[in-house]
Amino acid sequence: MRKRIFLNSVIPVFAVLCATFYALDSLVKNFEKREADARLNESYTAIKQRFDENFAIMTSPLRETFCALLMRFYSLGQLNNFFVEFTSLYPQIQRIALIKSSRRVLEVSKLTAKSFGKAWVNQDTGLSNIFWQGAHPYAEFRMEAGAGFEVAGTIELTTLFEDAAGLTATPFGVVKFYSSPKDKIFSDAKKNKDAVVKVFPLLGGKWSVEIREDRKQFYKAQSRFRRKFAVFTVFALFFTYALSFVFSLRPTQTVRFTSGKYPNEELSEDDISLIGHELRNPIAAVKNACYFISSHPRSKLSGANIDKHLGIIRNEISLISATIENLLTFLRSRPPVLSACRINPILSELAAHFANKNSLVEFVTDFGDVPLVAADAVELKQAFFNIMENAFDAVTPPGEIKITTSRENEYVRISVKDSGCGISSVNLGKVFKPFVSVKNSGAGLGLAVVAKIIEKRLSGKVLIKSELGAGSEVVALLPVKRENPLLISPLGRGRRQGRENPLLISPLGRGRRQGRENPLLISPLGRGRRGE
Amino acid sequence: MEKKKILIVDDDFSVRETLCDILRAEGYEVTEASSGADAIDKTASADFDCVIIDLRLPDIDGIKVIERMSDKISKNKIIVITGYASPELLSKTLTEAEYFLLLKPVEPEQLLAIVKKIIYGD
Repeated sequence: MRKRIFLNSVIPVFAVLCATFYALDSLVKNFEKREADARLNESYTAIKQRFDENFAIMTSPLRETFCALLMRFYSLGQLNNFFVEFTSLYPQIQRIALIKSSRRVLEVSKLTAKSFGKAWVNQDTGLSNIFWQGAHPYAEFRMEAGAGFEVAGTIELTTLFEDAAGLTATPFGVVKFYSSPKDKIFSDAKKNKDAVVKVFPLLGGKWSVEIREDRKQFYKAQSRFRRKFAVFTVFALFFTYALSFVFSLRPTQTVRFTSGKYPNEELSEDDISLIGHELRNPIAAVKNACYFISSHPRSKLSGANIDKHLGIIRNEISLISATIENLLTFLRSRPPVLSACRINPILSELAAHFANKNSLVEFVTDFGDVPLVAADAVELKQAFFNIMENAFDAVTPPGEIKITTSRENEYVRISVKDSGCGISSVNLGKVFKPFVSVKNSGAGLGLAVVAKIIEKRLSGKVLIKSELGAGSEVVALLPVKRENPLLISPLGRGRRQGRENPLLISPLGRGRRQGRENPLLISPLGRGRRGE
Repeated sequence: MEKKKILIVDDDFSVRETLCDILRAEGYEVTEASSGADAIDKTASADFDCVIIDLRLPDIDGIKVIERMSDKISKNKIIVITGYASPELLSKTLTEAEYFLLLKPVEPEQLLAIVKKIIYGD
């Protein structure tokens, strides 16, 4: 049961979370993409400008793009002087620029044979630019040393547009990292091989050199978002579970029959066809069963087969009769015949009737010592038959139906509580409406008749509490028999008649009155005395 | 000779059960379905010579069930039984007179005659 409630509440919440995630995700994607595009355009414009200014030879073709080489060198120890040498076997690369660096670039060189170009360091920014054409890219940067342990920078590789696709993969080549004492220039250090700290092949897996197209940077942000979302989802699931648990502890929903207005007891065409269906179905079954038994020679039919069909006939006839009784009560307008009723025996009798139908449905009774109620015994029985039938139908065996009676002020309180399927809140609002069945079968008269009998005819109260998956409870409050003799027995009525205007009461009273001399006098008792 | 197969679709247990016994006693092989979805499943997995269906089913409307099984079962093999007497409703839902239409409660003799007619012809 709790599992069902959990699923019922978690699934929609989870669906909403997923929808939110995808909406946010695409929003972030769009945003990041726009940002990446803007960054790309900005650098592209800047590079094109520098390209045009500084390298007039390469005016044609003028379609360039770039990708970024991100280098991060960690834990290098105390270095005085170091430089990076970058070589690539990608002839398409025509420009290398160190556009971002945590260390100032002191010197830059381009040492490629069979190529021509230009290399320089911007004195203001300490960043480099190397352009060439006609050979493999090759660049060396000497950087300012310091006490730092780390150099981080971005090297840009520029190529023609039509070759740009090739750059999305790691270019072949190596990055060598040198260090040397402060007083030696890097070319000397390079000659002394011992100055080489590390050689990092660009294809090596260990080295943190990444080549990425700028456009793809946004995927990083996206994956960050995904991680956050995963955490959020776990939290949300936990929260939802907690909520659903709390929800399962919430009091059940209650519907009272308080409208006070009874529907116009005229039947619509739909109502009639519903009743027709409810009556014709069992009649059809009875007809079939009779035909089955009568159309076969007795010798051919087994006893079990006959019993089965007789059982069906019995059941269906009681169904037909219950439907007819409900319909008649629903349509009836004569006043109830009130008498003093003991409620407990009526309930026990009904419970025994239903308990006989299925031994797996257990009827538990907890009867209090309750006073008599003023009611029409036949109708009272019918009302509680309907209530118990609903409970019985709602329970999937094995199950339990608990019936309790107790006194509550001027009422006797009767509760019939089942461990059945419960009623959804939408359907709960309709249970007292006539000709609306929230079960799969039935004419939808059961609780309408209950309400009519208890509320309208017996001046009691009826309400239903239900929780989907946990069961329903119908609570009826019946007025305790008062000392008002009108409501009780013929004996009481007689006493009352003796006191009041006999004209209004019974033939007996009238008879007495007729026996008196002066019929014009008001109270026969007083009159009589006066007359004597 | 192989037994002729009949599918009975009705949510009312007693009606279904009694009808099954009658048809079985006549030598038919009878399959039961208690809901529209059940009926559609069963017609998808087996062939039937005749289908007897109630219009009022708990899940899917009987007319829709007939339409959904129409590629497996031709309409002249279907007997529709309904508890609704309203002629307006019937003319609304059954404009084509392709089904055999019977009103509940059906006389078993009449039903058997129609089943026979559907399965064996006149």
